[in-house]
Amino acid sequence: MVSELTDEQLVKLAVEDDPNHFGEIVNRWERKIFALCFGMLKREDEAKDATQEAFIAAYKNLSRFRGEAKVSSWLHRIAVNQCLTKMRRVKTRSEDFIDESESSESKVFTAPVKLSPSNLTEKNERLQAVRQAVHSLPTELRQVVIMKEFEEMTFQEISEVMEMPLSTVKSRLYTALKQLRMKLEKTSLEVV
Amino acid sequence: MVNKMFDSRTQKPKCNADDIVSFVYEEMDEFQLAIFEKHMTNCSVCSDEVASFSNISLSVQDWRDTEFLNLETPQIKIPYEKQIAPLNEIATVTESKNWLEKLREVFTLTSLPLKTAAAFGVIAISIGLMWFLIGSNFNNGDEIANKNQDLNNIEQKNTSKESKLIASDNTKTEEDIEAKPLIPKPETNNSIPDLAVNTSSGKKSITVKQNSSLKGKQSLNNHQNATVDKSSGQIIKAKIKKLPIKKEPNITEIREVPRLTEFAIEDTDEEDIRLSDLFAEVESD
Repeated sequence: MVSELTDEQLVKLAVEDDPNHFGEIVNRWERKIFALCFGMLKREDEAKDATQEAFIAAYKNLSRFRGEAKVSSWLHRIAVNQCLTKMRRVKTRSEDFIDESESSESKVFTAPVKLSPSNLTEKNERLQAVRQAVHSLPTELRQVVIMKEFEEMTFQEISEVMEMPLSTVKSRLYTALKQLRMKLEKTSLEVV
Repeated sequence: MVNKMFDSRTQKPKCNADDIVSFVYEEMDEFQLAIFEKHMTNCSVCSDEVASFSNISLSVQDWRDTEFLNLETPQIKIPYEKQIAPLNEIATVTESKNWLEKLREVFTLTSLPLKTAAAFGVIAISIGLMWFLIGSNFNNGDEIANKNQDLNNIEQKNTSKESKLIASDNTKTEEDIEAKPLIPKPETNNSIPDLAVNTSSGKKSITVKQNSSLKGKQSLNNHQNATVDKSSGQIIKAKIKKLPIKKEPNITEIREVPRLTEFAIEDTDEEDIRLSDLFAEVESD
């Protein structure tokens, strides 16, 4: 069964036998890669583009995968690079000013029925504050927060993907949480 | 920073940022968990940190669940019709690449020992080239030195021949002063040659060259040949002939040294000078 094979075995089969084996890798990781891209780019359409480009880039470079790292680590590195490339393009086009006002309105938000309008507004404001606070973090800190919170990766997995020691990952996450706390306190919103 | 904080009561460092983060995200083993929980009961700083970080984590997860959880996973389309080039065929595919890209491929595909060997090979080749270039320069220098030596030998022969041309009186002492080369050395073309006196009894045949004591009134390339009566010290005949300016000798050719006999056949328009004037200038200096 293809589902019982490891990621590394699937890559080997895709290179030597049938490229369609790569599809199983896509099925396993597309959601997590999409979550990573969404957390990094904060826009659904850009996150979908980055996810598509990441998997296509991985497929084209399957033969260059040397097996020194895990396939998941390799995929995450490609995805992060794609996100950074997109962020640089957005920065040069200076579309952020327009996107800031549109993104909050176009977000799909379904609130529980039991919430009152005042609570709904407060919740929206808190979510917006958290979103802004996360996206104001430096890229390396934001990446750790997204991997931890959106993808629910372990510290060990994050250290493998980012190719840094475990203590460095924890230290970065500690710094990111401290900065988020400072930013949220500035907005005078009670986190609790 | 919470990394190293001393408990005010126990004066022992206990707080650790890694422990706080691991506790917040529940990635501690049982032993570490027991120790940290015991520590938190006595450390308000760590307790506050854990509480605030846990709330932030929940807020971020809330944001994730609200804005991301309902999003559909994109349909990833892989161009499977384009076959993946196997690793052994990459070399043929990259034939059209330039030498730089090929070099990069070598260093990305090869293992560390091969990279190290390639680096050492490059270093060895460069050292060999430098040694070869330096060696060839030394060989050229040796050739130049040999040719200079040949020129000096020829010059010495000429000066010795000049000294033999002077007739001598046996009663008078002869001063054999080593003749110095008439022709200046190539590298010292501008140097002022020295006074060379070839004597025999009775008459002095003085080959005078321009020197510093003569104050440079005459050109450096003047060649003066004077016959002086030793008893009177007066110049019998001084013949001066201006020679063409001697350029620096080419190492590939040997200059023709003018023979003394050539100066015996003099032109009528030579200028006579008093040798005593020359010595007077020498003594004054």
